[in-house]
Amino acid sequence: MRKHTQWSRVLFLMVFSLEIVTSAFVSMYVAWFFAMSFSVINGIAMILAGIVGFALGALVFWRFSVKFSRWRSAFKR
Amino acid sequence: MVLIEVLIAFFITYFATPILIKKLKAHGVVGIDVHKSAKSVCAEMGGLAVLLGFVGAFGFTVLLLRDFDFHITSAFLTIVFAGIVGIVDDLFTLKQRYKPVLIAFVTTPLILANVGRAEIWFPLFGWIFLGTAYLIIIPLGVATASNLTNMLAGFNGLEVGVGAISCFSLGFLLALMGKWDAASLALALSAAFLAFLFYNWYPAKIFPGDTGTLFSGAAIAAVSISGGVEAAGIVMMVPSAIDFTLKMFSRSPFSHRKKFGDTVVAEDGTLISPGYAALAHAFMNVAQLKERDLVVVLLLMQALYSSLGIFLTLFLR
Repeated sequence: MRKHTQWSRVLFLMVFSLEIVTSAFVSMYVAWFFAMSFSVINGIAMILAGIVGFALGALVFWRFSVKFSRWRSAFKR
Repeated sequence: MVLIEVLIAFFITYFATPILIKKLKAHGVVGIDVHKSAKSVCAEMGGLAVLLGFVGAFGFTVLLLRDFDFHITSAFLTIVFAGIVGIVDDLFTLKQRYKPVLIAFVTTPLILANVGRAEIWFPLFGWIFLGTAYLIIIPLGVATASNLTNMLAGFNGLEVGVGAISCFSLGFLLALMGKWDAASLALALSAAFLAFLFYNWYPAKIFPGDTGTLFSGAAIAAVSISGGVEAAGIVMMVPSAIDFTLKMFSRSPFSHRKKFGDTVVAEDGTLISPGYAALAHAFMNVAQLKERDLVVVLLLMQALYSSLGIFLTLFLR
């Protein structure tokens, strides 16, 4: 396989990983919105929501890499 | 003065590492390089050379300037204690569950230095009030960071490269913000990591061991906290956090290697993923990568997130 094709895939996956951070940020915003009235709990709720959003984003990232590998194999065949 | 500190850290580590390689091999402190077809034997616990360089540089600053800033000294002590936990782990192989507890315990100086702080700045949200929970977050954060860097490891130059890039980025950011005390700490660390990288880069002559990996994560967290740039530190830890999260998806997150075996090395040096979820394996899924290529990819990813951390802190704060 051509070297530049390999690197373009790798760079694409690298940039795609930003969706994990985005997912964590969105979850934090949602928690921020709902927990506005609890001044002390606010930060803790945000951190917990951020962790959940991050985990969901990471799951999407992994599933995408597995699918990508299957598409690659199917294309080869 | 920062430049002299950086040079001291670099040269102590650079000259101490070859001596350490001989001594460690003579005493049988070695590990197998599993990602090579030849399965060669390398010296382990090389993080000690990085620790020596860092301690030497900080010792110079304190002795010459007689400048005992409590915040910076507390960060220094936390980083050194984390390195000592790593040495104990390398020599006596601590159980995985004890490491976070011990690292959390060694953050005591950092907690004492930050009594009274209650807020943390986060991009797009501004200052978030945490109250006394901030003090609980310090040991949790440092223990998490050091164990995250300990997990994204095992390839020549990866752990040390991640440490060098993260610490340099933190140092650069803190210098731009005018916080030179914390910046000097981060830049001395990055210089020590860089010097060690000459020996740890593919094909490695020495591994950092848990001394290097636990120390690296604790250093990133401690410098971020003492410099007040926690959000940048969190963003810089994202690649390690992704790897940790992916590994936690498995039913047996701490015994992957027993269940799935090691990464297979093909005859041409290409790495084949053993199948369980991990950051390195995600890249192996999409392309045929050799060990050196994979490390370059992961370091590029680290550089991407380090730049993002700097950008978010500088332009949104």
